[in-house]
Amino acid sequence: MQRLTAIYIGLFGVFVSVRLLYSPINEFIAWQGWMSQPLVRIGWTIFIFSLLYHGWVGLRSVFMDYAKPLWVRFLIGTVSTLVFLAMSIWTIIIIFKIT
Amino acid sequence: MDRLKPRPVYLNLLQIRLPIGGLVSIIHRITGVFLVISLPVALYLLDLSLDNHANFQKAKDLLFSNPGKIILVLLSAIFLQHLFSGIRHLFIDIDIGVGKNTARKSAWATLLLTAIVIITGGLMLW
Repeated sequence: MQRLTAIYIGLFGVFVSVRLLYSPINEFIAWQGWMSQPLVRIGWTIFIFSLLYHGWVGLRSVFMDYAKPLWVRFLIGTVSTLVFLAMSIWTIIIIFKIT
Repeated sequence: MDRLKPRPVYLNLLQIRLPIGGLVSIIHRITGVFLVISLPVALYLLDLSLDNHANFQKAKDLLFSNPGKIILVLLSAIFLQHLFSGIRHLFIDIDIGVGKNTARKSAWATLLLTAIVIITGGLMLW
């Protein structure tokens, strides 16, 4: 799953970067219009959730290697999970804002 | 037992000379942590940009202000380095480029590619 999200993030990230560098979007209406296209919207939704999942798992494997005391692991694990959950809810709110 | 020599323990990080592959691997982790930290900022900008005309301008101004551009270029470099070293790790996972020489070359290549892309992109931005 970590690798699958990585591949998607890489491909979609490059796609969006090239798209925006090739023809920049400078206006709110154009930005909203582009973002509200079904495929773009779905692409972005999967992209952000992939980032959140990949970041959550990645951060966990990093701190599990360096933070040894159980309570420190528990603390970082709980706090980071709550932060990632909050960002997931935030993402849903953002996605539903696109009209 | 006292015949055993004490193991050389180097805890001084400056004394440990990591091979380039190991260095790129650590860099993968450090850049990953930075990218996680940047996530809420990116979400905030995306949220702002989709509000209305005024907030879209505000997000744009923030992103393309001078400090914004510097952070954007730095984060892009961090993202690219993480991406390239990630691709390298994926290839090593499927047993491509495992040999010492190829592995060293590909490790250098991730750094070189990041530098090339970021210098080109950075010049385009200014």
